[in-house]
Amino acid sequence: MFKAIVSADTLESALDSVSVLVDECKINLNEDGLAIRAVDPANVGMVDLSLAADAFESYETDGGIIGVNLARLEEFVGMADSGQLVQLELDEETRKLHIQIEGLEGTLALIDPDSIRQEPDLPDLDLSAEIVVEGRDIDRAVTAADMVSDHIALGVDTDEEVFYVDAEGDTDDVHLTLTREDLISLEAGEARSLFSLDYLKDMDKAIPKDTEVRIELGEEFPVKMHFEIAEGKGKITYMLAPRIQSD
Amino acid sequence: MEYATLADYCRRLETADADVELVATLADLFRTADADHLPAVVTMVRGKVAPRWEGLELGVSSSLTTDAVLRATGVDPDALEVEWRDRGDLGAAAEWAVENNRQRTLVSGTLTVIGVRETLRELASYEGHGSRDRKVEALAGLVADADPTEARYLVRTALGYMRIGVGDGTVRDAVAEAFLTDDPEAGDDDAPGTPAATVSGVKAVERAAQLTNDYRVVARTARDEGIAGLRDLDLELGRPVELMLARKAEGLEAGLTDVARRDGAGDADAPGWRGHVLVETKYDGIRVQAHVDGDDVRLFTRRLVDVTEGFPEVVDALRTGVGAERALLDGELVGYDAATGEPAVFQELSRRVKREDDVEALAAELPATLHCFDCLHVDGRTLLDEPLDARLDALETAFDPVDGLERAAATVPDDVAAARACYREAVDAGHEGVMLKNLDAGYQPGRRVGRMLKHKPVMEPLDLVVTRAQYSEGRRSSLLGRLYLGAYGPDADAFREVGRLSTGYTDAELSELTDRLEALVVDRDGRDVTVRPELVLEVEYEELQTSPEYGSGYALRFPRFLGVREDLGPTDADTVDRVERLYEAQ
Repeated sequence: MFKAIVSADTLESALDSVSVLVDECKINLNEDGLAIRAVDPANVGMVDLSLAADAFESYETDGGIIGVNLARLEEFVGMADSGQLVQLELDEETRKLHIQIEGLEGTLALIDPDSIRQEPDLPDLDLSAEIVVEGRDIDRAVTAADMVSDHIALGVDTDEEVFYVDAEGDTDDVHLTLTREDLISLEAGEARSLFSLDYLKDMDKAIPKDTEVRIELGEEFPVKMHFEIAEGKGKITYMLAPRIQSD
Repeated sequence: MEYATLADYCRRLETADADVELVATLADLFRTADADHLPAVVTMVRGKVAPRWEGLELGVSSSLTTDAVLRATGVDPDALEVEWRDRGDLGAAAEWAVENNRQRTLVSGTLTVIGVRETLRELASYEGHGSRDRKVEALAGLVADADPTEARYLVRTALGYMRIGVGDGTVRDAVAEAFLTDDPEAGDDDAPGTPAATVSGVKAVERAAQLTNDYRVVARTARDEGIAGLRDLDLELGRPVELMLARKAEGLEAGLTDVARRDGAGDADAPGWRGHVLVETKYDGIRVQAHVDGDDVRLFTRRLVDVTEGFPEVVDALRTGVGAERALLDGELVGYDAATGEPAVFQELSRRVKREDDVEALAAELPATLHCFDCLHVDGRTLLDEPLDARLDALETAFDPVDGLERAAATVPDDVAAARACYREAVDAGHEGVMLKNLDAGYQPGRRVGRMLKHKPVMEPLDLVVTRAQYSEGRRSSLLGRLYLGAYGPDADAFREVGRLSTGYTDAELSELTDRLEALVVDRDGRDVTVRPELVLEVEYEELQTSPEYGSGYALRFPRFLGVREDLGPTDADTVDRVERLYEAQ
């Protein structure tokens, strides 16, 4: 059994954060809220999302897992205006999701969760640096790097106590430095890793500009980015595997 | 079975330097595969994930594959392009990319044969908006989990072209080698090019493959039930068979003698063809096989594509006209102009296959008639080994002519003049020419045989395969306007060029050709591209010349584009031998 009512905006931002990485995902219907974990087909990027029951207007379930085609579900939810409510109800018989938005009603066929690839465990990483920035700083760094290259280095200079971003293209390059004053907080540790902009651009799209993003960074290690949606009731973590640094 | 095992065998096959070694290696692979994997392996060594008649189009182009390799490995795009050019194929370039991988992953997986097959099969189901990205991602997912050798072959499988020297004949011999050598029949000979397979084993496999068109079934049956099991395999309604194909007659009179002689029914010097040769109108339409199983009717082309949906009126005619409960009929679908009753040219009719427009409207504008000329099966009796005249008797009783369903017009002439009259009549009625058929001969699926010849007006167009192309200069500079054409050489299984085509197409046609050719590109050098030889064009020309410039030794004079032969595969193209004969005959 699953029946929930939620604001379209909350649902949309939750789904967007997952759909930038995968087309289909499993949604765990837990008593304390929804949880999604998915890794992209190439095993490079991962998203871990939880949306607490109190992010919903109402939320009832006795547990279970459903598989959804995210693009289709987003189309449905996209029919709602900002501020409207979306009601979701699982029909156990037909294995379809019944969706109601104001007067609009529809059903969405679900996917067999077993046909969706198994989500991996989150690797346990000990990352030496932690930087807290605003979402817009990430957007600025990614947009600047994208002008010149297809990859981007994120690092912390422990002497200068700065967080920096380097992007080097064939002919042009871009550097961005954020000092302790520019950051919300900085726990400095030796850290520098290179990442694919393809992935980072997609993740950036789903990170609200005005939110705080906690970045965990290491030496040639995956980066983790934590942020919240729905006034802290939705928590999202992205993890991205690094590229191998050029010699 | 892990995909690494299959990839390892592919590497050994690719480097095998003799047919015997190829067959031995492939047979070893078939024996290694378990019951679940054998069906997957027999198709995948040919670069396919389904038998052709399933009509599964993965829709994977070179550029899509390049994007997937880049996404998975993070190598420099220009460097990948250089490797592709230097190594000559994208599979080898993908191997290089994985060796020089620059993208780490969060977790790593192991590829299995079934997993790779299923992922590739799913690509065909991605449609509409965003489907290209999904394909790139799915393919990148495979490449990300692949070691260099796996990447080499899975990329080639995605592109449908293995380049490991394994043809249908190799698979046939290897199935016999793997499963049919334990219990040789008395007096059986060793099959050439194999370590231990026998002639009767190879024949049984070949026959079963012709009847089922499905090496998955053939290999499984050979393994589990041996030669006796293979001989029990039969046609199955709803599963298309390879059709028997005709050679071209070198003139009507020669054709009459030739077609009778091929099966020993006639003598070269005596007029032995009289009473043994059927002269039948050759219609210019679409060759189809009609499978009738009660009310369940399916139409397949000779390329084994299901075209049932495009021809509802013919399906109705078959339901009404066929009195037999179950039948498999061979014939030609011809479209007739509703206003004039004239037969429509092939290109017009092919619109109905593509169903670009409304099916009902097209059916009204260009109603089709199926002209039946052979009967392969009727009510539990498979007739392939029966002579043509017995099959025609069966055809006679299998159906009654109704609107949309007729017998092909035919006679058994007593002399050349009568045969010539049939020919004149057929051509005057707007048909293509005549077929000459040996009435004593059985039906040989999938073979272009001498027991069936076609005769058409001289200097008829050639069907040739595009092997290379160049971008035009000037106004059409973004289009591949100069196309090198190849004739097929069955001996070497290669295409030999016979000239360069640059006229006859409209801008729209050329733009469509360019799109299709760009999806086939295997190598680029400046403004020149080499393409996978797949696209067959119908080309007219004024005469043939000898020429040192082209691989065939001949060149077409004033070649002109007539159309794309959607119904022909590359090995159905005209052969170098035929070009040579035409040159000598002109």
